[in-house]
Amino acid sequence: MTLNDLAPLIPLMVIAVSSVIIMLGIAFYRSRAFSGLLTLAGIAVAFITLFGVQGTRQVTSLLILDDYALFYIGLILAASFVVALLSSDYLEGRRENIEEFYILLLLSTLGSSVLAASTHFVSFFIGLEILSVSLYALIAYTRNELNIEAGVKYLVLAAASSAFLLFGIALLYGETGTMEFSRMSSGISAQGINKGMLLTGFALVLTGVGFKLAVAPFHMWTPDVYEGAPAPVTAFVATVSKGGVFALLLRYFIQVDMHAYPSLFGAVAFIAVASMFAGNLLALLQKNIKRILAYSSIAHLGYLLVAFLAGGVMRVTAVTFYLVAYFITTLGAFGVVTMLSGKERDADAVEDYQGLFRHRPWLALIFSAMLFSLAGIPLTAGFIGKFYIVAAGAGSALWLLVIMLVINSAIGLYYYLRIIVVLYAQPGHSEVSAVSSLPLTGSLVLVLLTVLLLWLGVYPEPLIEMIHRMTMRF
Amino acid sequence: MLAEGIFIYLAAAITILSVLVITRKNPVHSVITMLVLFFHIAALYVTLNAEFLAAVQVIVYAGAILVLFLFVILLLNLKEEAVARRYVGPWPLGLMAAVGLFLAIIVSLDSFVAGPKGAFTTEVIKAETNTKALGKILFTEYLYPFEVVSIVLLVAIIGAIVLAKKRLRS
Amino acid sequence: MPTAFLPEEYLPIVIFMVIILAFGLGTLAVGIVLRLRRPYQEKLLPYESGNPPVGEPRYRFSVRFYIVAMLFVIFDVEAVFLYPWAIVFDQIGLYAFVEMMLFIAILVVGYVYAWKKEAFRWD
Repeated sequence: MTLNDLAPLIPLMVIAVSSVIIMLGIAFYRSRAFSGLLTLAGIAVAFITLFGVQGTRQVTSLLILDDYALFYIGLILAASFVVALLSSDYLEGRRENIEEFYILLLLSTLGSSVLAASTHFVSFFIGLEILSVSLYALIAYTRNELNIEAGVKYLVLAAASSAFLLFGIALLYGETGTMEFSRMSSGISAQGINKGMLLTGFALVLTGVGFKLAVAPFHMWTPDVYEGAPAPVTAFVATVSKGGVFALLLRYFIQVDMHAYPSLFGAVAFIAVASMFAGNLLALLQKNIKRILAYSSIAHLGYLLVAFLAGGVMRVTAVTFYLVAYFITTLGAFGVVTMLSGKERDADAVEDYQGLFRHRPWLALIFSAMLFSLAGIPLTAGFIGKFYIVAAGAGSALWLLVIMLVINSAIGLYYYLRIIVVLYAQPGHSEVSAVSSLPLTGSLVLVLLTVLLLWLGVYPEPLIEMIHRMTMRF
Repeated sequence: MLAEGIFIYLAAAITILSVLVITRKNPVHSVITMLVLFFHIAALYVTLNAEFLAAVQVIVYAGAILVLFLFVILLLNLKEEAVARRYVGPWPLGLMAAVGLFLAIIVSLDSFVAGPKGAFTTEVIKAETNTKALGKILFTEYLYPFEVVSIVLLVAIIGAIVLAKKRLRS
Repeated sequence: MPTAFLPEEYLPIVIFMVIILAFGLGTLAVGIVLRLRRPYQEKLLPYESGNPPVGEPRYRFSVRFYIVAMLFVIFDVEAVFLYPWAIVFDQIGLYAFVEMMLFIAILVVGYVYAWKKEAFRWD
């Protein structure tokens, strides 16, 4: 342990320090501009310092800063930056004190980044706790009835899933005597792989992680929390919190080879298929945009798990590209919801969007682009992502899963197109479409996200190259 | 023999008390039962050579968290009829999950080889005492998580204040 | 098979607790056996310094108690970390000192924040 060890942790420390500074600052003098700008600056500086980390740096046995971790931390930071920008205008007028929101946002970003760099169950659990505890407060932040209900639901389920996770970790530790991912795999091979205790441990860890990722059959909380949380926070839950956990899951099951356990493989395959069907079929029944997007995110996690089950280098590429596309699309879609939301309630009924094209053609076009990407229509990032997943699945001859994915994409197309049809219909009577003017920062963010979406859809090579280089050194 | 006897007593008491906690109709009774439960868990930690955990169990759980529970119950001020109602929705589902987990663990216990596999065997800890062993590893190997725990506590402070206070004066 | 571990040094504590329990239950038992039992209505009422009791004994607690209890739990957990630190302090020395100061400094920021936001004030 030397100062040299601290150098690769600078990005994480920047985030932590800026949140502490904001906290100390608002203890004495409240200023929205100060805390907002410091948050953005903190995230930006952390992002820049990511490039200063050279090569693969293992910091104690707990954290590793390799290209994979750096890429995911970068993705998480970028998403938080977007959420911070979107929420600055959204929170105005909804709650008297919005400075604490930024602290919680920064700290949950820190938690998610720790997850992306974890190689040890201790850092995994602590990262997850920082993330979850700040999310409880973020979800209930504006303190209306829906918010608080969503916050309580998330609190209870996240606490229960943490309990499952801890129990699973305890069993794995009891069996292998270590909590390091890399040493655990050798501990397992020494023990023989078909031990019941190990499988029970894996099953419990998977249950805990499944709750956080909101995959079926652990998805029940998702629509309620997505609906109840403030729109920017929903975007955050859908992207940053899931991204960190998924990055960790992928790293863990590469180091502890999942393909050696047929029952574990079968369980994940079941979760993938169940998520795809539960997400897409239940989305058909919804009349609330946030709930539709919640079910759609369940389905998308199912698609991701298909790539996750494929073997080889291809899966990291497929998962990572798909996650990038999913991040952009989800942020964009919830960004539109955020922009249109009035003070009384969020713009989450489908009727609110009726004839949006007539009032706000640009916003309608952006929303359509996001929905097309979620559906996986060509020329969008979502298409390329899905293409890579199918390629990865086919490469490992997971034909059944690939067929399920294709069937589900077809079902998904239906409800995405239904929203798009509404966007271009005759205007209805909704107070939400009469929001006076759109905030400038939000509009810029949305335009940027759309450009990224189309750029990755048309010319994905640079990003693919980058991901390839990252996986080479995995 | 005596050690086994003590363990059997504690295990049985913990099981029975846990069932009592979730079946009491009056939440205050639940909390009091839980207090007794926590002391038994602490005693179990002592017999497992983990005195520090036992102390934490008493200081944090029995001392602080239960008080919080009581406050919540008194805050809600449940009337008699609300007290009588069972506030558990799909309990058969929960029961099924619990039985499934129980069976999985019973089955897997079969192959479990007892004994610690890490560096800290019973003898090492006995020679060094639990708190010292814990402190040594916490302040060297697990230094970063330890510092990060302060962040977790910080988040809890902000969260509690933000959610409980309507107006935050500056 | 590791040998079963029996913490013999805890025997006095066990004896102590048994005595406490026996004394408490014993006193109650003696009371039940010896006392006269002549109940009438006024005697069975809750004692409120001679006044007839009015209203329910249960009333709602203020939410302020809750914030205080919550912050107490948080700082209690912080204090728990000080015990192992104090024990190994002589072995790790300055290094451990810096670590703990950083830990406490971060929580002091939280404390200052809570203070300034009047989380401890009762009005």
